[in-house]
Order: sequence, then structure tokens, then C-alpha cells
Amino acid sequence: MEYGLEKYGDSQAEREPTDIKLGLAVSNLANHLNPGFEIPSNLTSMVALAAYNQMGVELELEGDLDFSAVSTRFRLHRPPFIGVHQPVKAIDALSEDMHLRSYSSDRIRQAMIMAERLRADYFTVHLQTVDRDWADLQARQAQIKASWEVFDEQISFYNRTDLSIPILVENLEYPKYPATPEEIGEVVSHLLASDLLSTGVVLDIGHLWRSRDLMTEAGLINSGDNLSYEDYLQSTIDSYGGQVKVVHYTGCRGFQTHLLPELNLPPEQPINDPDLLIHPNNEYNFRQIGDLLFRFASQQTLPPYLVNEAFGNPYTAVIQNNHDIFETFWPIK
Amino acid sequence: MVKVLIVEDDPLIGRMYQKMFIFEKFEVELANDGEEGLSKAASIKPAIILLDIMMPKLNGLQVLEILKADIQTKAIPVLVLTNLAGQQDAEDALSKGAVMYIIKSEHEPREITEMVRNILAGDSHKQVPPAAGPGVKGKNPSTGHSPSGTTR
Repeated sequence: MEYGLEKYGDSQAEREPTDIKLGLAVSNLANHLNPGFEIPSNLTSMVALAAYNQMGVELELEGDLDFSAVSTRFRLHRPPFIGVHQPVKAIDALSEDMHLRSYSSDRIRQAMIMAERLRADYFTVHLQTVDRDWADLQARQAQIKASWEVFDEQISFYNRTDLSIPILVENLEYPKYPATPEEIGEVVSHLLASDLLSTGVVLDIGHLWRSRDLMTEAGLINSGDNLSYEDYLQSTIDSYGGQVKVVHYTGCRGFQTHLLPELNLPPEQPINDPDLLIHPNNEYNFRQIGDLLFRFASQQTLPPYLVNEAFGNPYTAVIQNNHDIFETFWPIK
Repeated sequence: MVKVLIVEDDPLIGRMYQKMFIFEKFEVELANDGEEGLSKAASIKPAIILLDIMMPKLNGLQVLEILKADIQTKAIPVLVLTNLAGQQDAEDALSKGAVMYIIKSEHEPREITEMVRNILAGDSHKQVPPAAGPGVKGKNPSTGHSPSGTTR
């Protein structure tokens, strides 16, 4: 079955290529996610290069930040879109430690305010940032309930502070919530029932893929159903695609979810070599996923931002990878 | 009793400080956001204000600015309590008239009460209650300085 191609239209491009906006995700911290990345010089270069290449930027704001140190980087070079990702390092808004919980809450609020002041296009929220022992499903349910309480507190702050930036909730890796298409549906219901004027979900295809594997290992998905990852993604998009405002895409090799798609292809090998895009077990077929995503995006009234979330790679490589992917899945005719 | 106004929107943190200050024989008033903080500051005329920064409606720095611009409240010392260690916020708070900028997680509540006591001891107009228990070494009452707090 040619996933995506059958479901999301024929081979004729229905929109101009420029309607689909690609971006790259980056954290401001110099750490294992972004080796050598430091404010201010690298952020300045990255924003300028992304803007020059007509690519958006989703910036994960970590640590205690001076707003002016961030905003000046966007003043001269304005990418086609700016997303701000909430901090996740050393953050646990569900912690039993009162100070850590309070600190986490304030850091998320601070990032939200910075996003508003940057006039960013959206703010990405993780409902949970720490994996706990959630083998006990009842404990997981309690954590989910607590997550929504914390989220609703943040939205209360957002409303009372007269913020207006769209708030998007991202799907996460099991046991974090939401992990499955059904749980993404619960998120959509909760968001639509909230008093947020502009909201939706960030669909991270790496997280969705990894969740499926982890839940199969935990016996929570019946492997007898032989549900392919492509089916899994397809059903998510079928059910909730209208609420997907941003897609995080990554290549998935081995057990990592934040790799550059096709990074380990030799440079002389074209990304669209079909033989190289068929992966062994436990790795999804990026050809099919790419087709599905680009067709899906092309048919939306407001195409979602497609953000390459390949942390741990030089941003120049991510930008080149985006060019390759764009040419592969949405060639200019 | 010396009145302390705690402006803090996190109810658990607010109650924690409230309990400690009551234990230390202060009279405590809580405000849940910046607007309420301003209103209570004007009405109860506290001896000192503990002010959180990250709050809805008016944030702590905005509240501080208004307090210092009002002739009725400008003399009230304000101790800024925050979770965020941003240098810019600290400088802003101190330049706007805060007497001290403190990272919450770096100080036990008992230490905060001691700092307040020292700040007030530097102000001869205030009658400062004696410490209720052991555990905190006295600091220089003429400066109110804390080893890890940022002071103006």
C-alpha cells in the first residue's frame, strides 16, 4: 500500500511549493543536543541562515534568559515563522518538590511571555517532562490528570496576562502523555473545550513512532494486529489532522528519535534512492512518511509548519537536509 | 506586630512563607497577584513586602514600579523573591527600588524571615519581633546583606 499517496491525492501538486513551510528546531543551550551551540554568536548565525534559506525556526528556550539576548537575534533576520518550545531541561512542573515545581512553572511562563514578545507564531507545550515509573496504569492516569491541572493553571496565567500566542500541545514518547492517536484525540478535545482562542497540536512523528514501539514492548498494543507505523500515523492524521498546526519530523534509525533523516547516507547517494529508503525492522520508511506528510500538508487550508527536529546536528546540515527533503518530496516542476 | 505582605500567586509557596512568618511572630497578609498586592499595600501599609516576579495581570517588576511611584508606599522596603536567576531581572528589580533580590530555592523560609528581620532592623522606625527559634545566624543589621542574596 502506498500510504499517503492514495489517501492524500494524486501525484499532481495541488499547491505551490512555497505554501509548505519548512523549519528547523534548535535549543539555545550548548549541550549534547546542540554541540557547540552558544548564545549569542551561533543563534545569530542560525537565525540569519534559516531566514536566508526561507526556513522557519523553532527555538527551545532553556535556562534563565535575558529577553534582549534572544530578541536581537530575530530583529535583523526574520525567518518565515518562529516557534518557541517550552523549556524541558531540569523542568518538572509535576514534581513533589515544591521549589522545583514552582521553578518549572515560572520558567514555562517566562518562555511563554518571551514567545509573545518575539511575536512568535506558536508556543509548544509538553504536558510532561519527566518519565516516571508508569508501569502502573492507574499511576499514569493520576499523572495525566495532574498534567492537565498544571496546564490549566498555565492557561489561566496566559489569559490573565492577556497573552495571545497560539498554544500547541505536542505528543510525546510513552509513558509520557499523550502517546497514542487516541490520547492525541483527548488532547484535541481538551484544547477545544478550553478558552484558548488559538490552539492545536504539534505532531511529532518520531515520538509517535517510538511510542508505538515502547507500547508494543509493554504489551499495550497487540502485536498480532500487525499495525504498521504508517497505519498509525495515517490514522492520527485522518482523525485529528485538522488540529495539527506543526509537524516535527525526524529520521528514525535505531532507537533514537532525533536524528537527521537519511543522515548516514553517503553524500553521493541521492535521498530518493528507493533501495536506501527501505529500512529493516524497527525503522520506519521515510519515503512513505515523507510522501504522507507532504501530501497531508498540501491539502490543509493552512498547511502545518514542518519542523526538522534533528537535534545533535550542525544547523547547516539540518538546513541542507531540509533542502534535500523538500526537493525529494515536493520538487519544483 | 510587624506586618508583612507576601505577594505570591503560587498558593503552596505563599502558605509556606506565611506559616514561617507567623511562627516568627509577624503579622502576615497574603496577596495572590500583583493587583491585589498593590491594593493591600495601600490599605494595610505593611512594614515590608515580599514580592514574587512571575505573576499574572501585573508582574512583580510592574508592581514594584507602581509602589515606588506612590508616595504612600514608596518607603516600604520590597524584597523580591523569584525562581528565575536572570541577571537582568535582578538588576531591574534593584534599579526600581527593591532592597534585595532572592532566588527562592536557594533559601530556606527561615533564612528569609531572618533577612526580613535584618532589613527591618536597619530601619529604626520599625519594631522587629525577636527570632522565635535557633538555626539562623544573625547578619549585619545595618546592611541586611545576605551572602547569596543580591542587594542594592
